[in-house]
Amino acid sequence: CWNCNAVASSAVPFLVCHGCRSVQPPDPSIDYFQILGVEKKYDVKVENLEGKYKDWQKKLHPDLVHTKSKKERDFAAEQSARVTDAYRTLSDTLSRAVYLLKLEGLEVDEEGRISDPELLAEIMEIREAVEEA
Amino acid sequence: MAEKRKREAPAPAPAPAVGIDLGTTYSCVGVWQHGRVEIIANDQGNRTTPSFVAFTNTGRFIGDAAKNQVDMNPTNTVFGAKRLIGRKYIDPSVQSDIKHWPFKVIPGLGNKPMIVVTYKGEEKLFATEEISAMVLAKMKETAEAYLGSTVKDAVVTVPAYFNDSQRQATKDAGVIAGLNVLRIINEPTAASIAYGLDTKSESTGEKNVFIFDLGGGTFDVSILTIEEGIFEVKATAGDTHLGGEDFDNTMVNHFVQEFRRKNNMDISGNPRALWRLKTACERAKRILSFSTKTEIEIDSLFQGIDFYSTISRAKFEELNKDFFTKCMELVQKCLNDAKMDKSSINDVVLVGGSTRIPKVQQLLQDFFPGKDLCKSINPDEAVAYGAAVQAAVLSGGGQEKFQDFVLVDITPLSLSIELVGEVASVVVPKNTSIPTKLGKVFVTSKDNQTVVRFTVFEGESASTKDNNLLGSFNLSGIPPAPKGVEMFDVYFDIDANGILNVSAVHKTTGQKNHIIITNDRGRLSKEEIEKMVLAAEKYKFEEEMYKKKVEAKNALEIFAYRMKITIMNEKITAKLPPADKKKIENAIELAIQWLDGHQLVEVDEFEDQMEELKRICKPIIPKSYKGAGVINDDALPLGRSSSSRAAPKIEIVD
Repeated sequence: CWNCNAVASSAVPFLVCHGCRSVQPPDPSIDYFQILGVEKKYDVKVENLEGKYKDWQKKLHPDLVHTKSKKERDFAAEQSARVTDAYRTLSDTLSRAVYLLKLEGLEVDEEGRISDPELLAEIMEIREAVEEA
Repeated sequence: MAEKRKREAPAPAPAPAVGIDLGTTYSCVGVWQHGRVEIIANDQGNRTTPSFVAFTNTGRFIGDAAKNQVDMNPTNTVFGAKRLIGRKYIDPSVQSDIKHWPFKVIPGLGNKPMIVVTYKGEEKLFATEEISAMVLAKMKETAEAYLGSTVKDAVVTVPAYFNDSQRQATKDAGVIAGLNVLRIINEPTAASIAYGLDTKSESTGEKNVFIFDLGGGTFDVSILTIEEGIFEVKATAGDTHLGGEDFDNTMVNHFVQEFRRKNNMDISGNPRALWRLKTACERAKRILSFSTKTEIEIDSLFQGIDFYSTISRAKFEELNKDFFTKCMELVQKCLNDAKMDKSSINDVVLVGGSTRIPKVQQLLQDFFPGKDLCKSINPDEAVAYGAAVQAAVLSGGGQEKFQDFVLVDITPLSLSIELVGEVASVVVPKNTSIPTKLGKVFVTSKDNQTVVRFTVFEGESASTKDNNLLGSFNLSGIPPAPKGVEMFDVYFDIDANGILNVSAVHKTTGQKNHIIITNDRGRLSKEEIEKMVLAAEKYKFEEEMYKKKVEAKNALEIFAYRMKITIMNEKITAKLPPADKKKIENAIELAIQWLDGHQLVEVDEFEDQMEELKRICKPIIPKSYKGAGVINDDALPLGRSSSSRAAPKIEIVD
């Protein structure tokens, strides 16, 4: 902890100090699955996410540190935004899948165009087959 | 034994931060104190203050004093400034409002609406922010009178559906009023705090709450989930130009036509007649909330003609049915945006004076069958109540009480970057929780493009020309390449205060630039605000001087008449030589005559007169007479002994 030098316990992601309650600097190595305390896989029980998300907001929201140092306020703003994004990303099936692939090093460009004629032809044939079936 | 270290002398406790509901027609101020919210009454004893500012030959009046004199001074009494704030003069809603207002509005620099009034015989121009600042200053004073100290910090509320220009302009008004605006918060969200804290004891688990906020000028709906101190806004929708004022106006139009039919005369060009009709309509509207029929009766409305008519609740509902339909459409839209079915709503909370209208309640009741409409919170005070709580949270004044209190609000409008052909590409969709950081990748649109312009818009239209421009910035030094090759990461960062920071990074060179959206276009410049702050202080000073003059004059007047009565009392004057008595009588008479001829001279002159009169009257001044204005009936037996005493209270005991 930057404030009281407490050492992080490995049980929960170290976003807030359990000793002095100060908000910690954002750590990009903690992924969204870890933040929300679920296993890193596609099959996630969405109803378990909200409670965890709200627990974090109660500890991280910038309003809670409004009278504290600029440094901590900035940490809170970023951490809170991250937690919100984690909740939003994992709640939705498509964005969860995209995020999971990204963690595995695969960037999915949803707006990209495919221009490989062979692949396009193959997909077209499959589609026609589906329609005729 | 070591002496205990002396504690540092505590700094004088600063006044707590207040919450202000700056309404279209009424404003309200509250403060968190002793573990609860206190809604503060103004100098007239009212817990809400009309958002009215009047200018006369003698001075400026704000609140009740301003509203009470509109009849005599319609063209110099300003109200409804909230309907102008952050808008352009050419805005159709501004144009239609102006038609209903007795005061004059003209286009100013950058098409900002400017209000024209005659103040102390001179024509003056005021920006909308200045008028709102006057109302805010009045609320500040109200709080200061109650707290007994200077108020600096405040949370000010705005309709959830206000856009960035309107929010920034409201913030500027706060600065002009001498306030440090801690945060601008959304009215329905504030109201939900009042509701949430009110029902805290009985609530268990998560609750979906629907806030229906129909006020004097604006309409908002919000859906929140409330669970153990965490208030999360799910969706919001609204119309920043729909409220009680509109209902009054349709009635006014209706009666203007009726007057024309009956008398073949048009009153629409006469501000005084229109104001009197509007006042009568407003009263009728209120009556129609508990009665099915009422009368409108105005003596000598226009050219000596009395106006008499009736209106039924059914007619009122018929006149405003389009507005009511609009309200219900937005209710449905908000549910759709929150991806919720109406059956999942646990409570429907009514906020704003216009929710007293039976038709509104009935439509809501029909829409949410089997749900009780929650009326336990005061619809006029709930917003200020919530703002006061948030003010305490942000200033750290509430301490442990708020340990578990967090408000997660959302952006009401989508935020986008303009693409070629005025197309809006949304980066932050509406109803996104804040704080947030969202990104999107953009590419160059022309071959060999070396400079890229990022233009930021706010609004729901797919075309940027119908949205609100927030700002723009360039990124240069891009190596020439075919279009679509060079890529940029664009991030939108919104903090808890709603301040937007847009940044763009060129992927290959790492070139970056950013803009913090302050919405400078159409907004007052720093210099203008400073000027207005000074002007506001000057007006306040003049007002205080005026008040002092009136007080000095009243003191002299009271004293002179007291002495006049005393000198007639034989018990007191018996021992006085007749010459002295004569001298005193003359002095009193002179003072009274002087007063008639000097209505409002400088304070010194009143005080000099007072000293002189006191000196001459000394032999007859009773010892208990502490000063002018303080009347002791025992010492002055001939005084109207009941005047300063409250009439006996008669209470009916059950």
